[in-house]
Amino acid sequence: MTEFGSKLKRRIWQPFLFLMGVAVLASVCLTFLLPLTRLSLWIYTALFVLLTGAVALLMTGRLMPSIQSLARLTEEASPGSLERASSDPDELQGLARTISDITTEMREKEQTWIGDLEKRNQAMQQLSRNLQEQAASFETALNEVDSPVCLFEADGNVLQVNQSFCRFLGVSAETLRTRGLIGIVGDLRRFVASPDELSRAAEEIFRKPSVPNDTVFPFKDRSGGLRIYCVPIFGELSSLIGIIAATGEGTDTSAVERLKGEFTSTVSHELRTPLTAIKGAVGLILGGAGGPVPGAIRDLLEIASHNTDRLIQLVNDILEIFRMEAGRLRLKPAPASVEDLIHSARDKAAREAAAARIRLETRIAPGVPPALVDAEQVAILLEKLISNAIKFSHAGGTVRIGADPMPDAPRFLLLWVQDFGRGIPREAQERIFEKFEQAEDVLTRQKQGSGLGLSICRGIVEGHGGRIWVKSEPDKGSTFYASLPVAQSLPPKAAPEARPVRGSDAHRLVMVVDDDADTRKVISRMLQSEGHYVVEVSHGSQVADLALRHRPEVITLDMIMPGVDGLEVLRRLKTDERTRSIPVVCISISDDLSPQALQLGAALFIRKPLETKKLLDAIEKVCQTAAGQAG
Amino acid sequence: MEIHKVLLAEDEEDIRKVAQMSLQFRSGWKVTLASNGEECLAKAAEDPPDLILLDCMMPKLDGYETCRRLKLDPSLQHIPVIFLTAKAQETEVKKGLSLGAVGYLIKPFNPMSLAAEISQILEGRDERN
Repeated sequence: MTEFGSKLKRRIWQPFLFLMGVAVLASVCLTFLLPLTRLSLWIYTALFVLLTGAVALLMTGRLMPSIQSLARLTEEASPGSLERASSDPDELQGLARTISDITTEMREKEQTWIGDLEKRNQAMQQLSRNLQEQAASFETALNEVDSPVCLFEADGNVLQVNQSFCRFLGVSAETLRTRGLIGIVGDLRRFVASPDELSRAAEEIFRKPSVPNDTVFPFKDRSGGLRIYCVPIFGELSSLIGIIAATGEGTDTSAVERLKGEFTSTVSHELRTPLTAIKGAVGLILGGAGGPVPGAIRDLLEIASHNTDRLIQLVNDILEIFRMEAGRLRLKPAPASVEDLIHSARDKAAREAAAARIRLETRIAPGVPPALVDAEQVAILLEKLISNAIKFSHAGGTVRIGADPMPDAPRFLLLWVQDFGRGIPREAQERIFEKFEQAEDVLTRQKQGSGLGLSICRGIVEGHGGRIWVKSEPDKGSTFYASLPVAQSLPPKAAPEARPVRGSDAHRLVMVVDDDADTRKVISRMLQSEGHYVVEVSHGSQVADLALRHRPEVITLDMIMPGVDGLEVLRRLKTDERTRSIPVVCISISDDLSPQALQLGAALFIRKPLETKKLLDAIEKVCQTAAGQAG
Repeated sequence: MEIHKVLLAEDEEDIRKVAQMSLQFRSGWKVTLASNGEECLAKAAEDPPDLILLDCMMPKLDGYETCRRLKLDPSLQHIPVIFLTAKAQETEVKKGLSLGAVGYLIKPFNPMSLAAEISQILEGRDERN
């Protein structure tokens, strides 16, 4: 306003002084132009000057107060003050009016602004009150938290700490605020065994605060560790605003994993030891090591034996789950033939299927690529899926095991196991892959199993990067699918080992008679390794009938069996015209029974322990002899 | 190879008995027993067997260390060693095979087929040799 007033003064005074100057100049000119005496000239001049001065004084007297008043008012420029100049000459009145309009407008705007400012001020005050309330609530809540919690700004300054944090470090909140991140990490370093690791971790958290970080730093002087849990807080444009850090006592996860491993190993060992003894003792009694076993006792011992096997399976499953959860299931993927995987699984399940009167079929689609899998684990996967399928099938039914390419996901192939049993209710289809879950739980608990099998299957499949799922319809059956990674190619197979030529027809049908399943399995493996076909028989009483049905080329016969023993079987075979010509190779621990067996018509008597070569030679020898006799 | 004498090192008495009965009953082998690794080494030196069966976890001297020492002894290193192990130790046993064992059997074993399975392991070794 002062500048405006000065400008106004200058604009009014300047023309006035200009007029005064012109008047003086005109007087001087007239004095010199008119023919007057020197005296009159001076008199004219003096009069003119006086007149001009009087006019000037008169004008000044009239105008100056207005001008000065206007100047003063403009300097003051208070709203409405220029309205008093309304009685002044026209120009000044116009000017004053204009200025007055401007100031009125300014005043109105000022009023608006003041109104706005007041409103904003009130809003700010409300906001401030809200923030204070929120801060107080937050502080109360923070102090209620048992865990020590500290809020850092992005630059490491301390924004807030709770009382627990202060107690934890034994320092007041004010002191902690002044210390900042570096000071606090310094305080925490004294608790832990590896302080440098803690400092590095803190630096890392602030440098790359992308995700919540939960780390346990083992204490230096006791068990457990200092757990530090950090959550980054992000603002707009993902900029880091701050970090919430909660500390407390935690358990050293590596120690937990170690303990888990030790626990698994110990439990496994401690459970297996008595189970081994029970299974061994019962097995020996059932096997006749203590003499003949009467029927009722045999039934009871078989119950004991069967349940021991169940317990062993449960221990194995639990162990497998522990391994998976501890991340100790180390897969060793290698290219494997899908045909080999499926056929091997089928052969392994053959006995269980036969016992349940289930037919096993394989359906491998043409063009299925080799799999990139841990063959041992896939064997477990298929074994469990097939075993489940058998368990939930109706007697006399079929279980199919197959493989298909996956056109939609060419990096995977599909293994599947299908049964035609009662199916799985829809609501149970997801749940069955969880631990200790069986669809049967929904109905009854009549099917035996730990409920861990499918959970293990899922672990194996997911461990390979694949997926496992089931499609099922009640009373129509279920199909379990597992997608597994594809291998580019199979490594070239080693050239088959040269084997001695064993006569013109090396592939014979051999009936293996032994009451012990594992011994049958061992003998079968020996025979199958040479390309022979095997029919396994577990009871002496079944031999004659099955021999009639299958017409084997040779029979291996265990001498010591419960019920119908080897000698009795031999007698029955040799007294029946239809089976008399089948050569029988007797197998026994000692030669004691050899004379009787040979007298009854055994072709050969061999002693245990069996060796592949000894067995194969015996088979070949008796078959050739029989062929010679027939010819 | 022909087996006549087997030395079994196992710290659990019941399992020693069962395994001994099983081997004698099913194969006719003569089975000598040891309850820990030290005893096993002493008995092996005293009367070298045709085969040594070793439990993995034993007091005084465990199966691995026993195997290592057997393979360092020129007079005993030719004797085939087979581990008897709980499944949990399978991984460790595979490591133990590098100590010179020819194979391993998993507990609980079937007493009726234990001898046959041992024979198979030995045959496999003979074929590889």
